Amino acid sequence: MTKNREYIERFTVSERIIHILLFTSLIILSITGLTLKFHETSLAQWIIKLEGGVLFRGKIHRFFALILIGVFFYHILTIMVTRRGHEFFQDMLFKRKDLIDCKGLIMYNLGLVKNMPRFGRFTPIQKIQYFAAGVSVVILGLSGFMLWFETIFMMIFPKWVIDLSRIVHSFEATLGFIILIVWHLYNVHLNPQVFPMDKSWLNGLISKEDLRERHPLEYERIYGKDEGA
Amino acid sequence: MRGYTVKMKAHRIVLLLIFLVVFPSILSAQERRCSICHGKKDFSVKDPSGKTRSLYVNESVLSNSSHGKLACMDCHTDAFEIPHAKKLKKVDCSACHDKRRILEKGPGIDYFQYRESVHAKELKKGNKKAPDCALCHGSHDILSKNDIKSRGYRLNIPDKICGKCHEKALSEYRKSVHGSYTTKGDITPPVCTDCHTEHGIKRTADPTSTIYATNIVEMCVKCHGDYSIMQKYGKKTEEVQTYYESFHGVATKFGEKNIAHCASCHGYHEIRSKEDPLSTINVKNLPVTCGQPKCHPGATANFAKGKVHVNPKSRESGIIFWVAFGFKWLTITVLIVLFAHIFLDFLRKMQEKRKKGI
Repeated sequence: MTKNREYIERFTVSERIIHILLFTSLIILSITGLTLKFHETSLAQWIIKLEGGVLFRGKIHRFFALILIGVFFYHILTIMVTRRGHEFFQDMLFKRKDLIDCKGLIMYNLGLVKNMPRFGRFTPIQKIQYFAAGVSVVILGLSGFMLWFETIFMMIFPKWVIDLSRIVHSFEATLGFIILIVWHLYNVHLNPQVFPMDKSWLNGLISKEDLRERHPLEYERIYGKDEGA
Repeated sequence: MRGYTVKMKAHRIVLLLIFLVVFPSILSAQERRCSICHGKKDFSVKDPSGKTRSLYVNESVLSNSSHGKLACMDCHTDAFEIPHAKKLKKVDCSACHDKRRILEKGPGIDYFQYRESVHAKELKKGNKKAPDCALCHGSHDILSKNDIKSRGYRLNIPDKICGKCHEKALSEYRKSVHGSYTTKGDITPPVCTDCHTEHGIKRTADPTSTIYATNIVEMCVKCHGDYSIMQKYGKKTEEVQTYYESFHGVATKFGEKNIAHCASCHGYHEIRSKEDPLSTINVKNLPVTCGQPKCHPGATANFAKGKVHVNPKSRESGIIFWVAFGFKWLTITVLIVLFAHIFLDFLRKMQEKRKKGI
């Protein structure tokens, strides 16, 4: 395993900082939100005590919601303004190949084919997670603001819309939580390829070797087809 | 030996005679002596203020009361000679009904609770209007609370006891749904004491009170969460669960006292049916009720558009039910797919790793 380890930068410093802000706010939002959803359990009641009571819990939740919204808009801004951000988004968009890759991945997981599909810069799983997170933030943001400023929103909408937004907020948050915490954490931590942790979120680097193994098309785009073959 | 037994017997007979004949005759003689004056209908005294105060005791009422078997001196302990002192001590009910009997339940515990009540505290402070035992229970005419003629009988409590002082509360209560049923003779709906308790009545602001902001819900739920009671009136118990799951309910449960509880919207004494145009929860009045300055100032008619106690698990909730239903199954599906993927992916990658390792 002592091969010549060369690294390339996968995430810039600002991207790493944004990622840290993103997951800290998501974790705190999840904790403060889930304790409210499952307020009847003794664990949640204990956590709510730690959070400084049920009303202060709400204040923490809204504070980190604002940070999350800030992260969201910063990301949109980088997509619109910077070249790197624009390329990032272009690479993230679903293409026809992703469907084929999905099928290939399922076949690989079931042991029906020998090799994993050859992924580009982002795997379909990463793309699904990216858009799931994006859509979740939009839905949660809108419904959350409705619940935050209920009197103002009820000047326009009838009460049942607020009730609906509560249901949507609660369920969508749970869904997003499951996708991010369960699936994403598996992919970057428990996944035997990276266990115990894919360090790229800290140093922003991915080794050439790993890139060739996990994102072969991206590797070829950078280094050309023949190298290392 | 034999002589000794005879002596014993004689001794016992004398004792028995004392108990059976002498004592009662002394007592009844004493009763008769009291009634020489207090048996006269016009026996009265003039207060320093000039008011006439009747001192007449109706003997037949007394003998039919719960205390009918007691002698005058059992309560008026300082009236041991005739004529007795002008100003007798106040009767001390605690001589019998004291906290020593707390373990037995019964009057003892009531007395103990009374001592902690706002009434007793006010009386101690010197508020002459505050009730002592006799003001509510009466004096010579005390009857069991199971007796329909008793002041303490369930349906008599509002008019014959509490309403005597709390007139405004009484008139509001009579206009409420609870009051309208009890007026008709229905014993199930609450009277004053069901919410405020009988003896241990405390101020609303007292955290140990049954009607304190964070305790009141539990109190309403005693009946409104009981299906067998609510069924009788064609009501559901669903409102309890939906309240507990609402933001209001959760916050109150965690001890927040500035959050809407049952009475914040439904009112206290004057709880009316929502069909009643005067009800605080009538569709037309909801914006005002919700828009209280402490709550949602500026509330519009939109507050009334949609069910208040909305239950996402009930089909009647329409779109809310269907959205919740859809989300539930979406979440379950996603969970199954994710764990299936994680499981298979893990196995396959471990396989690959082992191959490489070899």
